[in-house]
Amino acid sequence: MTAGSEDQAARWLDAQLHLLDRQVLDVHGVPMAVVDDLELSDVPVGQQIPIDTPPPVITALLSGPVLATRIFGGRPPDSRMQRTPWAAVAEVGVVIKLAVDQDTRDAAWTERWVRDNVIGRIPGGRHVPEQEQDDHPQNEERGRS
Amino acid sequence: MNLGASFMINLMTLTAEIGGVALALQLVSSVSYLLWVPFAALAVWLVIWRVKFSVMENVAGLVGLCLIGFAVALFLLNPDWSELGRQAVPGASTGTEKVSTYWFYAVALFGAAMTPYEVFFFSSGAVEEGWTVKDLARSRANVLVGFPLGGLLSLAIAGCAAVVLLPQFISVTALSQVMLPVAMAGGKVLLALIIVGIVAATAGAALETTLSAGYTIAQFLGWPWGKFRPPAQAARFHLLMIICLIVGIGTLMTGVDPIQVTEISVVFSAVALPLTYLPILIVANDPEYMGEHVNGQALNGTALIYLVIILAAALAAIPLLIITGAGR
Repeated sequence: MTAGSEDQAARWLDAQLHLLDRQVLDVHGVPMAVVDDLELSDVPVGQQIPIDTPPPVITALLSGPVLATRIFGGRPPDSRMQRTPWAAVAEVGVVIKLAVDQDTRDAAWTERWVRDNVIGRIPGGRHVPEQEQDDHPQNEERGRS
Repeated sequence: MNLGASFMINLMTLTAEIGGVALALQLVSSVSYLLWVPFAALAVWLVIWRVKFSVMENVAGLVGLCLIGFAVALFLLNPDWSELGRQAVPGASTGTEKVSTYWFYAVALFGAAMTPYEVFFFSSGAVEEGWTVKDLARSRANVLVGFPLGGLLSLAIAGCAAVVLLPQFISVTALSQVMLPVAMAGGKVLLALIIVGIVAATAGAALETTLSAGYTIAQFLGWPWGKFRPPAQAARFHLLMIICLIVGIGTLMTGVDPIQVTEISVVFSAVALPLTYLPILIVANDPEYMGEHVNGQALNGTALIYLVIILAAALAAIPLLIITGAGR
């Protein structure tokens, strides 16, 4: 499945293994969401596909409330899924890194809502834990950018 | 499933620990523990909200060392050591106790020593403190010193109770009875020391379980998490922990016995442990994550033997719980 050794120009990805359920980090290395589903370019349903049609490509990563539907079956309506276009993906590894800030993405709207309406309003909610913040390896990328 | 089970156990342990803090404060103040519960939970939240991770961990750990007082008390009681050793062997205890009861408590202690939350807490803690490969040696030392020390202290507590209370046919049903031998042996100073130790240990565990509740859910759903971020930059993580604490307060306020919550939570910890242990073993064998540090064959062999032990404890836990009626 993974013919993905480093010396090969092309790397094989197994969507099930390497994309689904993986953590998505934004450009600063801050966690944003996990990949719950993938959106593929249109595949016509119920008609013969011509032989020279290009294969469908992944157009977006989808995140949404899939916990209940995974246990009980079915899938949430499309309107509940948050899209992150594939064009924003910078790197696929153990985690998936994006090339954009998560504040510009729909997938992080609950985080922003809770921050602005609940946590940010409690005294001390925006204080920076001194010193630990700066030399923390998870924040390296922020320092560089 | 796995997440749900771990999270529920975590919530139960959290409830039990807050109850523990409140019970310890009741010993000092003779104000009902129910009144202490909201304050204990509030204190836990304030620490999570403001205090730096490393400070929080070290202070709770160091003050918790006051529990060594139990070992001191055991020595001051000057018991017959060989008799004490004989009592610790299965089936050799007093006639009133069944063999199944002994094994029930063996499994419960096993579960208490290795609750799933510890795995979440220590692995996330490593990220919080920005560990690298160099820190692995320190972490091994922590485990090799810490776990035997914890085990010794548990033995000392059980030993104190056995020496003083067993001959009087008093069975331990409340925290205050555990304190009785200490007061007899060491007087007020030792008693005070131990109460401080109990408060620190239970409060420390309450902090750890609260944070673990946040870690597991936030990491599963891919939210920003961690105390190294300002709360506003891990907003859902902090909101979740506040909700967990409120649920804990609510549960305790129904008047449920915190000791019983503890017993049930440690038994279910033993049940859930394989669910936590196996995924880690699998990841430790995944070169994509581990790079050059992937598990070797000898390590995997040991790990598999250990898995069998854990599985045995997990499978035995629920039948024992039913047979013994929770150890009575």
